[in-house]
Amino acid sequence: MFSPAVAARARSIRTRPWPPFRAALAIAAGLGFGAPLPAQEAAPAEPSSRAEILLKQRQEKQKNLEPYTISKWEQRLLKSEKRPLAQKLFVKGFQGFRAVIGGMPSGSGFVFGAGYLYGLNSDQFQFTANARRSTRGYTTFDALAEFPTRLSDLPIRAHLLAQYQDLTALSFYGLGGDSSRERRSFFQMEDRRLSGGLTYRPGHRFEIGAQAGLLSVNIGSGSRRPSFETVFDPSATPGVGEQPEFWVSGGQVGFNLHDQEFRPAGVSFELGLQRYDGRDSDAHDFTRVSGEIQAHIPLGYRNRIFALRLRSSHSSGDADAEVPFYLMETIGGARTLRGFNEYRFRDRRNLLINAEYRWEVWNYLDFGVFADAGKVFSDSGDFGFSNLQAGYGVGARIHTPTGTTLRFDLARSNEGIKLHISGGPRF
Amino acid sequence: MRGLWKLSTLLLLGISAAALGAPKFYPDDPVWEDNDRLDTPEQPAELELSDIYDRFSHIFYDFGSRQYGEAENVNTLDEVPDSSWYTNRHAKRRMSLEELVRGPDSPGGAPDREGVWTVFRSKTQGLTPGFQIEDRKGDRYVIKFNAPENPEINSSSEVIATKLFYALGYNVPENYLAFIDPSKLEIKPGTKIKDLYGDEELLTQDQLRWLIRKAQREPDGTIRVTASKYIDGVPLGPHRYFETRSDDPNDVIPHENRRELRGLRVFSSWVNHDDTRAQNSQDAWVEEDGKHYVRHYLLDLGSCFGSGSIGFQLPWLSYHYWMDLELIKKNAKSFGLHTPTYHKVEWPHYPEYKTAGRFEAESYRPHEWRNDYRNPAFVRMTDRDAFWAAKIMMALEPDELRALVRTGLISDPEEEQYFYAVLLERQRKTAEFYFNRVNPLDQFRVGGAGLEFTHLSEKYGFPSGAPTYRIGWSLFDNRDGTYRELTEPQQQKERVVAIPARPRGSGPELFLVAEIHTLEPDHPAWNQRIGVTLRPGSGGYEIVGIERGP
Repeated sequence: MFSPAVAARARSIRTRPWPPFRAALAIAAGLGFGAPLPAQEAAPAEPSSRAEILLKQRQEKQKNLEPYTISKWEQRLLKSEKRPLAQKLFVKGFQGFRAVIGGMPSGSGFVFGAGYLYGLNSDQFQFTANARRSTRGYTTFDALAEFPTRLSDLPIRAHLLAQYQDLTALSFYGLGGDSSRERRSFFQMEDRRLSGGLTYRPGHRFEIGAQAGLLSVNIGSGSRRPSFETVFDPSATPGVGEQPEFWVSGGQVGFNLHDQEFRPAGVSFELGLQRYDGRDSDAHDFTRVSGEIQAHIPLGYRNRIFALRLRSSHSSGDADAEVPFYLMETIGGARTLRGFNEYRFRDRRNLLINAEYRWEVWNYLDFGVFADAGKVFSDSGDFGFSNLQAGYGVGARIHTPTGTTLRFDLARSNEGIKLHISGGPRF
Repeated sequence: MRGLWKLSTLLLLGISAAALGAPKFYPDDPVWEDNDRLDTPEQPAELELSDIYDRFSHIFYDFGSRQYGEAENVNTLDEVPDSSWYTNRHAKRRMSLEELVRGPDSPGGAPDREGVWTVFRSKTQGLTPGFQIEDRKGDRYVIKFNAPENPEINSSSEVIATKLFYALGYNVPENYLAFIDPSKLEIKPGTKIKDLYGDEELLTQDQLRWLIRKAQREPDGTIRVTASKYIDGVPLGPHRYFETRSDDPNDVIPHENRRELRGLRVFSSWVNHDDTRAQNSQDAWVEEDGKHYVRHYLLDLGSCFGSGSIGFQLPWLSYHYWMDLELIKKNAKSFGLHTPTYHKVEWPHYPEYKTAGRFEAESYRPHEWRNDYRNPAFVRMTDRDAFWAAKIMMALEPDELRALVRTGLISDPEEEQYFYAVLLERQRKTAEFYFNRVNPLDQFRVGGAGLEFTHLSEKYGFPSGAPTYRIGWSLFDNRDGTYRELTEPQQQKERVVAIPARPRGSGPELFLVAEIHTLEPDHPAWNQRIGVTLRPGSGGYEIVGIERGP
């Protein structure tokens, strides 16, 4: 009840010396050293009421008022909160000009660059243009216009994309599931793309989209050694001799039956169809059909999620046409078979299965153990669960309320141990 | 070194006590007003805290005094006197239903709906814009919008919680549920808008329209908002829940040791105010009768009940700190076998009820409830602090709670009924829990038959068994602090006990003390001592002291 000790302790600890030093001072004062205690300055009249005691405590403090501030560390943090430089640098930019990190195909190394953004907060139109360079020496330029934008409530969106990529050292191990790791080689893929598309998304359950555009690809010697043509016979590798320009058209439809909780549960399906037609030649015309199922199943409660992904892609050349090797989908790497290198397996068809058990460590962090299996093949008769390449591992996923933002995966396969640090959702 | 610090503190305490040689009770005890309005002519500094620093530092460091003990700002009745922090309201002097519903609102304080609202400040271009406006009367308000998907949740929460916290005794702003006519929003020339990236630019009418484009319209085209009136005085920024302001002479009790801040934990758990932290408080340098002092407010009550700051409350908030290191360690090691409590909650009507949101009573455990992050006052709350808060909370009766819930204008009657029922049930659970941790006798008074008291658990219909009371009397000499037994302890069932006569010739400094234990086998904590001190006076006895615990 209004302890007499209150006055002695009333001054802010923050403005007093650090506790051990304070202790020494207090003992010294109590023993008569140093500055005398206030009570020793003059013998005060004994207070006659509680109100008087309280008043004296305050009067005593009034003689010793000190500035009330925050520490330098806190000041620095406060400044950064008021002026969030990182967000300004990477999101809004200066007059629209901003820095860029990431945004290249998996396996590109660290990617950095610069870009321009117009219409950050517009729900009607947004334009971005970026130039990127990676530590592997890859270069990309792109320009994208979206209308209306993601901020719009309209269910329909359109986009136009112009893109240039110079990926100077993509890995090539040969075609098929029996390709050898020892025959790793590199090739350069320089492509130009001009495309446009429409997406209709009336709610979060259903989405349908269509795209069309022009794609031009040049294949050359890789900037790293050995270059692919020194390891593989170019004439036996489809698409090396001739690299036509393609009209690319296609579409996809998706059903999302996941709920909208922080850790969504449910199942989603996506089907895609793409058609590649040579502009001047039909030697490499082909059609690709792909499908993917993702399921997230809570095991009792949502702190335990069993996640499963099943994906398959089939590219079929017309009549005598061949699917160019550089347009074949690959498996291997951070987004597919995590125990293998990026682009490790390549062929016209593939099958991929990812299974993962995730458990909540913190609201924004999951740990997980996973197993991946997959294969590539050329003949549709080989579709099935035999001869799969497999890997397993452990990982951590950092979430925000809008999704997974960063993943760390340590995976093992018969080709060794791989560490992947990647952004965005896998599944 | 910590031992050395303790030793030094003990030395100081000893010196103080010995030097003072003070009586236990002063003539003006019990003090019901702590006059902490000593003139402060010089304006204290305006304080701005870093949200990140505040958030992280409380996770890794326990701010405040190292000695955990009882609150320091209670009077001899173990109650909190009125001060610049707290005013005894409904629990001490019953407020009428009209007063409760009015809360802190001043006559004519609501924003003027008829005239133009002039925007003179805007803080963000994010999803939830924040405006500051001036109405035709010249009054200024902070305007907060509801989440588009939940057009009532934040404003209902803010208004209901404001009335509740006011009735409980806290200083809160006048928060009005208002309806904006977008056509009456004008921009004061030169008004700038600050975006999420810290940049400012002139606010235009187009931007204004864009900012409120997603706000749900009422049938008459208006937008429902919370209008929080500027509080009186010069704003000084938040108060921290530890230590004192070094530039405020009136602030002599470490905040972590203030009972009304410790007890705030009980109220906050009841109404699920998880955002109880420094950033949601405000000090103001106010003037009264020509004198200045600092008054302390609670702000931003929009994150109570099932409401988060934007839309629904996140499911885990109120079940654990936003970063609970112990829980993280446990979860990491468990391989998922340990399930945090919040996953097990079945929100009865979520998300169908768009205003009640994540508000329920079934899984609510008052002592397990957590605010956003460690609050130094909350973690120091003792059973006595909690008992004080619980009995104040119970002063709000069901019909009063219903009236307060109605101030939130929840449009769906079924949802409003659910909201009220959950609030009532959480109130019951909270009080029952804390009444069971101490001897829950209270409302001591001297009547014609002697010393009367109330058993709060019995009063409110909580399981109480058939308690008996062991009561003994002593004499207390207020001059030297000595006790002398007067009567042998006796057991009785009645909640009134005759007051024995003092020995002939006893002076006015010889007080009577009744020591009361409540005996009930199912409630061992009730067997705590309560010492009730009676001071003799010309008109009979006056209760001057209540001591709880050993």
